[in-house]
Amino acid sequence: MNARLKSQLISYSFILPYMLIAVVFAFLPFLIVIMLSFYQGTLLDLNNLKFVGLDNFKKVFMNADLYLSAFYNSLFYAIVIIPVGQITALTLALLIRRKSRTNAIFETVFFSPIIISMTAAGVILAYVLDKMGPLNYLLALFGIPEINWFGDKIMSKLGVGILEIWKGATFYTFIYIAALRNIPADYLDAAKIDGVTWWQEIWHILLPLIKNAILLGVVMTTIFMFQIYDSIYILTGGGPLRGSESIAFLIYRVTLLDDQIGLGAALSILFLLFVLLISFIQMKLLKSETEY
Amino acid sequence: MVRDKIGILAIVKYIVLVVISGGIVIPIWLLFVSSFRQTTNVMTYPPKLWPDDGDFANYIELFFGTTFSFGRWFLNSLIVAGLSTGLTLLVCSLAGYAFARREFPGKNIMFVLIISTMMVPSIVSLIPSYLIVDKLGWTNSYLGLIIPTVASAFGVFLLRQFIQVLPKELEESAKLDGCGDYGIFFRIIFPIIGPSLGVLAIFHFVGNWGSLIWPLIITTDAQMQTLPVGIAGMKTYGSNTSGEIMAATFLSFIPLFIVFLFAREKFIEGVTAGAVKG
Repeated sequence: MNARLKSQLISYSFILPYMLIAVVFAFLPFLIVIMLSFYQGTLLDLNNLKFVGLDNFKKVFMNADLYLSAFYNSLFYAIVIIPVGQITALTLALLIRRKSRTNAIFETVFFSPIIISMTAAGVILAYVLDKMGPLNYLLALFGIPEINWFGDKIMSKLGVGILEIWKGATFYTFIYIAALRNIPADYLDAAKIDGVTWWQEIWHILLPLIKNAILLGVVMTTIFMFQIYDSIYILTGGGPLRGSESIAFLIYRVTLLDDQIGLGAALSILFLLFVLLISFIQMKLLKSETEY
Repeated sequence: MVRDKIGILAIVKYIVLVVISGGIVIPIWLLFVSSFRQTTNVMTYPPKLWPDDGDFANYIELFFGTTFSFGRWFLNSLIVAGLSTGLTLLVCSLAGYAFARREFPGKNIMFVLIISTMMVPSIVSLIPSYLIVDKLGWTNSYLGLIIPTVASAFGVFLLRQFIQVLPKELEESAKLDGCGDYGIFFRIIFPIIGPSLGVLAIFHFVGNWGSLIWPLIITTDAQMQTLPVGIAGMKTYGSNTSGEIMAATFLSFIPLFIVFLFAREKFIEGVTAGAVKG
């Protein structure tokens, strides 16, 4: 065996453990989901899958209104959570961008929701948002009538939005703090000598300098927000009347609860294409924004 | 005048920070207080701010009662997140090293394939992965809970980035000293990338500790469930918010939080690593 071949074999041995697991649990599932989208059957009776061609996809498009509501819910989540979450994250980052003891305390506080699991955060907010819970008590002090967060389709979506923002927004704060602290000191010193106001400093110096981080944050949160389902599972279970179901939760429900495995697979494929399309558009925007 | 303006700005700044901090801390505090109270008293008007009428009944029930396998869930979470993290570090650093430093046919295409798996939403591969685990007979087992979570494309990407910027002289001098290919990795590379491994370890552990849907669908046996699955399941035992859920939830994040207090910088680096490096 020559030295080059031997060296290559050793290289393969380095990636072998990873590739073995990736093939079985990342690539193979992907092929299976494509295959399943052409079949009909139930999870309990996998030996009796029936090949149905494109029927599952036809079903989705013929009964589009059954599935569009989940799509609209996902859009609702994206439209509410992304701007509110990002503006909160960015504001907090700008407020505590300097390293100091006080800011270290705020950093610790803002980091806690990141460590808390979505399940735990869901239990906490289910309690806070409860009809008899502390939030309604607080609102009542200001004369605001009690809100039934889980009673109707809009409020339950807002409830999920609050959970996602409570648990997720400060994650981006730390991305933005890292970016702000990476700005070379001389940029900021020069600005100080020129006597810019705090507003000019933020608007004309800091934000443009961390533009890439912000774009990245927006891309990440967009991709994540279209995929949420843990928060829905734990807080509303998709209800009431499927009013808080996201696309990802719909796929979960159709496949596991309604036990329509082929239909779930077809929805998965369509969802994947949608997520890829969104990512592609955002990457394009990201590229054109950074080239100057 | 200028000074007044700065004073007002500082006040506004601290009001914003304190209000948002309150929005995070107060719910956690209320959870803590409720965890000492009887289920029937959890929802009191006004909310209780101090656990002066509570006791440890919920905690005792969790650990010594027969309704919940809380101790077991905790142990399972520890085993699963711990082993998953350990294996991820090993498997991903081996692959990351090969992609950073070694030459072999198909290297680029394999790397692109690995990275592209990051684009696939987890819900898409959830059911097929379950079918595979079921075929392997790994449902309700640590194997099923751990192995599928080990192939972290993000981990390979991150460690490859870190290894790429190491000076090549290290490996060359080790080779001159007669160090073999595996020796170079385990004796030179692996120790040097320790800090990066720490970053990935935190990132992976935190994510795995909180993971819900995967352990949920592959475990039916309460003895094999992890904390998030167990806690999510407690919601069906009774009312939405029982004292026991509050206690279980509090216990589910407080250990991690204490570790975080001791390694703040590392945690922050760990969680933001992907975004900052990428």
